[in-house]
Amino acid sequence: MKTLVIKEFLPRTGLRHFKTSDNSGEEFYHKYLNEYFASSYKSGEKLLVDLDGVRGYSPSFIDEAFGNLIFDFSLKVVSKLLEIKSDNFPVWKNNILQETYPSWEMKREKNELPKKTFAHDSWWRLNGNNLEKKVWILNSEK
Amino acid sequence: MTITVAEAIAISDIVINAVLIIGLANYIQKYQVNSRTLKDYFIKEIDKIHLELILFSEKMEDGNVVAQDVQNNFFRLVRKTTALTYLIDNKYKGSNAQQLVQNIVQLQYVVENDSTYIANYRTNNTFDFSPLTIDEIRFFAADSGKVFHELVVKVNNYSKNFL
Repeated sequence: MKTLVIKEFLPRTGLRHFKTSDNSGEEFYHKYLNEYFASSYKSGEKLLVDLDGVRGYSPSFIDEAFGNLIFDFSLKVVSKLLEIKSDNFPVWKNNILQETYPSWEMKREKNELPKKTFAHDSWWRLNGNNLEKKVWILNSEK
Repeated sequence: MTITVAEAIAISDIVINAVLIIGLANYIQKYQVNSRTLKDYFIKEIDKIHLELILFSEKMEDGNVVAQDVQNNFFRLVRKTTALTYLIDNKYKGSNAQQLVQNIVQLQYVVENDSTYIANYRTNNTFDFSPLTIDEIRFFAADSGKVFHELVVKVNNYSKNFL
């Protein structure tokens, strides 16, 4: 199983969007989580995300980071390939599974595009059964 | 003076019973004292966190706060409450103490969605929350007492059969 330990990438976690804070959930998703998960998808190997070791999380960081994963890959695929580990923050693990997952799956089904506040490089998305990489949504902040 | 077999049996019976009763009484008393002491400790810790949350809420209502300090305070509260409620849930089954953490996270969600908070986060300037957010903070502070009090009652009333 591959592992992504958040504290190794972010000394401190911020808020939801790139525009409003450093180390945002949006930045974390585009810089790390999307690539790591796509790699897991290609290999069929599960990805373990370890939430421990940071000082804490904001609800918006958690929602944006893991919500985008659902939007780009679907709840079905993410549930199968992603495991979340946290001994220190069980509340965030619970919130991801019980709130973020279902609400972003609903957004995905309705095609309610998430807001992007930065011109991100291309990122991975499951388009039908095909894994494709491109700039799916433009920066809404101009 | 000679003691008959029957008398010896009766005496030993009394002695054994006395030892058992005294031993059992001591054990029960010690268990109850330890159990009460531990309950009192946890109740005190729950109260400390409740007070900290009330003071923090009042500080946010008063304004002139710094966004990243507010965030740090939430980080600290969540960590502290998680550690305490984990122990309580392990010791007092069915107390659902972890609900306290969810409670604090709900307040964090409200606070960190405030547009002035978000606007001042990166620059870390002092600011006041919007009137709507202040209202929600006040409501939360008033409402949160119930969750804390309920937990104190659960811990206090917890009884485990050990016989």
